[in-house]
Amino acid sequence: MTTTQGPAPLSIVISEEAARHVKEFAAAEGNSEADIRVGVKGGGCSGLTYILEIVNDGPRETDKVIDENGVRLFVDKKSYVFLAGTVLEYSGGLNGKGFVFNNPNAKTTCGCGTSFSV
Amino acid sequence: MTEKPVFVDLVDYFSRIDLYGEDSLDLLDRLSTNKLEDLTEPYTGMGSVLTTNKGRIIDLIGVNRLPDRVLVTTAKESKKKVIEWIEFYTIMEDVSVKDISAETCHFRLIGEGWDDLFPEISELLVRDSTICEIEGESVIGIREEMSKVLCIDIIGPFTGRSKIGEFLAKKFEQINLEKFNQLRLKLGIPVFGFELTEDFNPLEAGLISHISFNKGCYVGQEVVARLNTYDKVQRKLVRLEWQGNLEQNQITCDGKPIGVITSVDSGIGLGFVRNTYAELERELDCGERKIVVTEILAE
Repeated sequence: MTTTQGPAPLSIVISEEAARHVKEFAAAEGNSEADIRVGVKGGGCSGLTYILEIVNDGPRETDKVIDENGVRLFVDKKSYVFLAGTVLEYSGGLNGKGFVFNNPNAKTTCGCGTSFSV
Repeated sequence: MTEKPVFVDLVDYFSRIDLYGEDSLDLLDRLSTNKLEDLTEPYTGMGSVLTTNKGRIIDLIGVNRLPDRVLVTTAKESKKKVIEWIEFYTIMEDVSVKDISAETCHFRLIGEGWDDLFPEISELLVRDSTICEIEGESVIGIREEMSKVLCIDIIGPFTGRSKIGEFLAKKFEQINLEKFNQLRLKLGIPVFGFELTEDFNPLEAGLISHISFNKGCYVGQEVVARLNTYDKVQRKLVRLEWQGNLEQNQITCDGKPIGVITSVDSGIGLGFVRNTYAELERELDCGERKIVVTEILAE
């Protein structure tokens, strides 16, 4: 009998580079834990806008918690629908954009890259 | 223009929606064209356009900040779409939507002559509101305008509709919705389903006064900003007049299609024509009829 392995469930991945920067920013804010909250809110040129913030009050009851590369990422369930499969990366250097959401659900993104449509 | 003030019952013409929650105004600001974050005080208001992410019109909404909620007025026919649009984009926000259309009545007084009756409203800025009393009913009075004609919108409890209507009828002549439609065509007011549709953008439809070009992002902002900055608006809303009846809505010039008529009533109408043809007194064709541009309604 052969079994085939299905695709891994969609998650949100934090790249090593992004995780390193999260830790640096968290430390700069005096946080002992590198916790971030990501989410989506309505608005922005394309309809939906990414939210990314360093938090120090832990996850909410209904949050999904993703622990990767030493960073805990909290996301509310409604935002998760729009973010499943996203890779959070960090684009550094002079022309860098900072944290970047590579979101497979985004059909279009606006010029500044912070808003998208599905 | 009306020579004497008139009033109209708009209970089934507009919808009224209450938004509760501390993020209500912020969410609407992120979804529509005007700078709603400037509504910092209760009883202030402004018009704003909900647009798609392609910068097309969903509807022009009236937004009034009240002490405990935000009152939104829309066309009756766009209510479902407006509510769905707001709810779709309510993700992490503290916003809840309540349709109060069936619980409220809505009258509009049009023209001068009501200042003595409602002095507290006559001193307001356009779109701002106040609470006043009519025949013992507490109502919201909103200073409105149709083109440059001043108006007052009165929104009260549905149970007070007859009483308020009778009170207004003692002072002013009542017009029906057919007359109201003729008036809005005379004044060049675009409405949902005719001029305000996803076929057009707010700049074409003459809604530039409801657009802020220095606010943050909103849905459709990139497109609207680009159209304005690079002067890419191709068509303009105009008022048209003609003799007789029209048999079609396509506007032509020398046999070339150059626009479309969107509203028609008794020899007056509104339509969109290409910029080159949007000139006062310009004669155009609509089937066998000659039609004349009598007002340019978009900048």
